[in-house]
Amino acid sequence: MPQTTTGPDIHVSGILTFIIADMAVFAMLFVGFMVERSAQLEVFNAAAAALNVNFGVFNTLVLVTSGLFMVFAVNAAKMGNAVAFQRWLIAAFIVGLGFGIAKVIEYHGKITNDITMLTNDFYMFYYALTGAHFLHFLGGMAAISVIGFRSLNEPVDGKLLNPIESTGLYWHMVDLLWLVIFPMLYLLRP
Amino acid sequence: MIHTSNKLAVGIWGFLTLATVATAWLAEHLNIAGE
Repeated sequence: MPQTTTGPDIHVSGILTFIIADMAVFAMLFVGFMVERSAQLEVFNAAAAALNVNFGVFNTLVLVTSGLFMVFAVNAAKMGNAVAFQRWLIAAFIVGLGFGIAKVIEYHGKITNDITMLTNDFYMFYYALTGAHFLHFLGGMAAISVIGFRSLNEPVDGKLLNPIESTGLYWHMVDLLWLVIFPMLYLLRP
Repeated sequence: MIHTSNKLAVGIWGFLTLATVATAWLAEHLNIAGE
């Protein structure tokens, strides 16, 4: 009997549930940041002014571009084109690596200047938000590696397609979260 | 199943890229901190 589906399949529903729950946690941090910012406007503005906007812009463009390559990879997998899938996945990984490197350089610069979570409440949020996001980024890079290696031995349009789609959706979430974190931390200042 | 065509993805990418650069530029040149 032919099956008709009207919504995402069960595997994709699983990752979508996770994404919504995860984003709800970040949303609480975003609200916390804005409330605290309104209470300490001068401290937050002064601290934000010390951040390098170029790092933020670079990281945003890198993540958005990596997300684009991920769409290409997922679509190639849906068409059963393993070679194109692997190429676009490697492109997404390598471009994504740029985010990790830039973030490490930025953290290093801050820490060597004695700017830590304890400096003030802005930096408490800065490290909490970017740190939690960075862990999500590392998780995404790990997931990309896993599906990449699995695709060497499995057809990409078979059982592997669900993890591929889930990884793609997760990667877009990492991207989307950064699209909120970037303007909130780097651009909200006089 | 969720599907985004390559063409739509390029469109979204272009929009986000332009929006990022434009927003950063505007933030540097205008006071958006709401003081």
